[in-house]
Amino acid sequence: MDTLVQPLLFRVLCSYLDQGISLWKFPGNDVGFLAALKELERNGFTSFFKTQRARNLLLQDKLKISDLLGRVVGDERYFEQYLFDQQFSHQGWSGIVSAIEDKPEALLDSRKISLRELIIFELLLEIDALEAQLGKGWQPLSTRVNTPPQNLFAEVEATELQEVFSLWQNAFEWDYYDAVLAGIGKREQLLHPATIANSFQAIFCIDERECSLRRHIEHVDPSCQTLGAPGFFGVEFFFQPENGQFYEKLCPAPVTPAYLIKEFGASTHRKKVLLFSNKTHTLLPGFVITLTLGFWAAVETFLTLFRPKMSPAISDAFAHMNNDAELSIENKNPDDRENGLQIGFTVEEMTTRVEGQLRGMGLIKNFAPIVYVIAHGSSSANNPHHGAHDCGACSGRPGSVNARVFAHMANHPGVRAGLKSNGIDIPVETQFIGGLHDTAADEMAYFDTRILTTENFGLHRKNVAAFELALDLNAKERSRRFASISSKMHIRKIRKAIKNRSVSLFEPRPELGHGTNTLCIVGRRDLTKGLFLDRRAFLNSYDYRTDLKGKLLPGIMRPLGPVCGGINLEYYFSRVDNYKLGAGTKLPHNVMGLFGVANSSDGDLRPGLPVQMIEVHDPMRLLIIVEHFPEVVLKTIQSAPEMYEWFINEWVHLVVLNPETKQFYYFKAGAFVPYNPLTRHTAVVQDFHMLIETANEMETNQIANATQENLPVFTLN
Amino acid sequence: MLGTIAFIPWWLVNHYPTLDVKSIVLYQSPHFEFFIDFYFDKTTAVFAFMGAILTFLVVIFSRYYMHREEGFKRFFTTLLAFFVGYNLIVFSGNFETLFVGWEILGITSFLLIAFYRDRYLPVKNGFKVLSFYRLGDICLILAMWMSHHLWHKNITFMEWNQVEPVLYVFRAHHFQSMFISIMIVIAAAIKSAQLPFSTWLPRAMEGPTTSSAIFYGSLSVHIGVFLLLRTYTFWGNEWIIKGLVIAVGLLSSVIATLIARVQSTVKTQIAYASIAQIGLIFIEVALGFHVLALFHFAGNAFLRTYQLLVSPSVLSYLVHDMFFNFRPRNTVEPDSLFKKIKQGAYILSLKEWNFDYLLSSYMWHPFKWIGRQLSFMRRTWGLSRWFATSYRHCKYSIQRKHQCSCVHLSTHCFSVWPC
Repeated sequence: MDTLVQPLLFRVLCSYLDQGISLWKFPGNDVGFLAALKELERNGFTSFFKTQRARNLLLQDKLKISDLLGRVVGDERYFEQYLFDQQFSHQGWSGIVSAIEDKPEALLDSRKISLRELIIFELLLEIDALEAQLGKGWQPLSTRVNTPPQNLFAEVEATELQEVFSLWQNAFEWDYYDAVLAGIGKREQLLHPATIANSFQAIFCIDERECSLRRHIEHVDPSCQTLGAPGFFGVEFFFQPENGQFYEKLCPAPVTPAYLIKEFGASTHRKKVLLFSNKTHTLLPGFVITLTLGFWAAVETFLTLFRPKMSPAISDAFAHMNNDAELSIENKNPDDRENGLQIGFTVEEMTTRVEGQLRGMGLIKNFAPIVYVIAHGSSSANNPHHGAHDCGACSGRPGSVNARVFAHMANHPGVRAGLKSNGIDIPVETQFIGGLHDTAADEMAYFDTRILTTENFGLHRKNVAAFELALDLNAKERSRRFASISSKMHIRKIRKAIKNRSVSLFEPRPELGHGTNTLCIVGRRDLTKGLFLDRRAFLNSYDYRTDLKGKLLPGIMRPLGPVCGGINLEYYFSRVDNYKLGAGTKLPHNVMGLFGVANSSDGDLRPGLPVQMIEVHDPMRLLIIVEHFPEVVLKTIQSAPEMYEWFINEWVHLVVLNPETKQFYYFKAGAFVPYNPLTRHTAVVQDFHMLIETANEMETNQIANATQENLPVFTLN
Repeated sequence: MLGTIAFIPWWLVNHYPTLDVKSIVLYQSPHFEFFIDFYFDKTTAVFAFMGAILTFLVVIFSRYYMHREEGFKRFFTTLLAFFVGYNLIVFSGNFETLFVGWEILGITSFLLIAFYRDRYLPVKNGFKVLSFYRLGDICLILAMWMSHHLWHKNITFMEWNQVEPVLYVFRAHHFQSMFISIMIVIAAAIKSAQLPFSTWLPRAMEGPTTSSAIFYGSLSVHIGVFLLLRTYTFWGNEWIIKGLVIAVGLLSSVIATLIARVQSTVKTQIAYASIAQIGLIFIEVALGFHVLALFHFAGNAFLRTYQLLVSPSVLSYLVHDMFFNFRPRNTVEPDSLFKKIKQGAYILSLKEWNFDYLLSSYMWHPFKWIGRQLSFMRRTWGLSRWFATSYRHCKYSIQRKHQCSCVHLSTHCFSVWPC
């Protein structure tokens, strides 16, 4: 029955929800799904159905699911199971319908639809199919069923197999965790007094892809200091690019901001590509276009193959915001509002945010002349999953606007004065500069550098050179996981090859996203400085010494579950069952209505991540390591149930490092128990280049093979 | 490929003569000669050139795109086999040679649609396409069979394209000639996904994007056009056939455009848009504008290949476009007859004008019925094993269209042959 019903059901659903692919929109899609269908049935001279019976049922008012189920299934005891089987035979479509029902604004061009309507329409199509196949007078399905109905909500019995699985999973995880904890413990013993940064400070996103860049910049310029904070930098707002018809949320997904930042005065605008025009799909314009632009398409294909370069069809992280456009950051008049949002922040609001951010990172003194605020984004071509490569703390978008806004706030004289009276004295010479790191292309951009003083501009030029060297090294480190780039090539060539990847249409792996993420370390950088963690750690700066009572800790730990834990579990589930919980290989994907991908014209929508993004990932839960006293951390996580559930349910692991006794504590069943690493020795690596060039490459992406590509924990000299 | 590109300038310099090379004689008896024959003229030149360029581009593209994909070698082997088959068709000098290429094309098409053989839909749709293709093959075989009756020999396209004798034969044996022409038109319409056989094309987009691009965006779907061009001298004499081709082309282009307008997925939209353009090419061929048809073919092939290759980009491009240019829809139109017709056409287009349903009622069902009536042969007479297997596989593919592992594939493909 599925093959008779689903193709049409999916096509109707997709057309109804379609955001802008079809040239001919679903008529009357603003009144709700069933209402629109009824309207079409009533008006048109043709029908969705083959038989009159289903059509009449649809046109009835007050259709009830149970009535329809009574016709299809018969026996009431089977209803639940039938609906379960029916909806889970296309979990992708059911899932998106229920997501849109909960949050209609998830689609730019919003639609009214509910799971109930989907079920009704599907049951009608089933009645139609049965009637057309069997003729009139068919019996409900349950008349031929002998097995008793199952209780879907019955307790799942614990089995030995599950126990074995759980043992394996823990062994797999702790094998790695233990080495990490040993590495950190060892560093603790040789901890030298923290260096005072005198060249610059750079705040990066906690993203694990920045972990290696921070290590490299510290290596290139040992007198700099790097910090990590969630990439929206504590400023939450909606952003409206110039000429944009909608707002973009630039903060973690669960937060609903009350502020709006508008862009104006941009010098460049997005270009159109004629080959993407939907005119090519019409008859007569299509005829003219095939005879003219058709040949240009051949040239384009050649160029994309042999001279890949940025084009409007490629999602460009740097194009998210215009570098030279103005932003409405400061609000001088509280009445300045749009659609219920306040345009810009007042000076007090700015001060609160900057102070919160700086205190959270423990950056309250010893400011360097320049403090960089580096957001990240990712450019990639031909990639419907590109949002998954952007910043998770900015709702899957590049964080460039946040970086620029934060820098502007921190430079604001009013804010500086406010901070001073609150005890944070930023020297007048210190200037904040926003920036954006493209994690796919390994390129960096800096915003508003014209505000720099002459002296600082000279320093900035030196720092940019240092960043360039660090990006070279970062590109080299990343190249070891790309089979098409040899890590033994000259480092400049590697950098070029990495950049080309991000604009190549034929490249299904522009970058590997969050693949391999396993750790989240909340503490001072000194815990991990010089430790080679293979780009697997989210690094959140936090200094327990500035927050002995743990007042700031809840604010820092609350997003870790949904943001880092969420990312980690997304990769985990896509990795363990890529067929059902992931998206399978992305090569045959077909873009459906601009809101999803499916494998073919009649397929179900695919959830999760494609195999190209997860093949390097080891399915391990996130290990959060916090540097503080266990009792403070326990109080913190118990302060909010939505935070506590992440730990008590073991969705993520939690280890606390007592900063005074240097003892690790592991959170188990609601309490902290001491943990002593079994690993005795952390190897020291003298030559980074050697390490990268001789690293293992996976033979296949099967998990036992793929995991061998990961490097152990080293201390880098 | 290099051979093609090098040969074409030389041929152009030599005032593009029409060449015919008789290469291998496979079977010879006093009355009959069965041979492989090659032929070269401007149609061949354009098709061979396009084939070489597009295959080259797609192979280079796939080298990176398919990296670490299960079935990497299988993909390239099939792609090369496809290229061989394609070249056999475009260079063929007689129907027999063409048919060999035609078969290779069909088999490789099936293999690439069912590339992800562990999933249900690719295999199912692979069989769907295969069953359409077999129908085209049968038409072609019947055309060959009838032309053997007509000429009592293996006629080459060289002889076929001599206007006077062909006209004479056509007049003298009107029925046979009409039969041949109609069979050719049906075969071409199936291969080029014209109405009423168009539903297989959007279903064929199951393999990796690159293979969809080269097969269903460009080369494979235009083979029907090639067949028409190659045989034009023969059926071009008869207005009824010309009218038939024009009607098929016109209907296809209009209806496929309507269907393309309602498509909400990128690849099916491209597929139907391409069908519409091929419909126009059919009309051009029938009206005798062959140079235009060749240009149109080249433009359409390049454009659709490009569009399919970049189809995943459409998401970010159109979402951005929408972000900056979105206009909410105007208010409700008043009820009118026009609105009724429009909404009716919308539903009809969404259901692809019910062609699938009609074909299954009026074509596949009668076939099944005949199959059931004939099953007594197997039961009672115990015909040769070969026939039995071929029959079973026939049933498997055409009638049941069920999921099946591809283990039986090779036996399957060859044994379906004679039916």
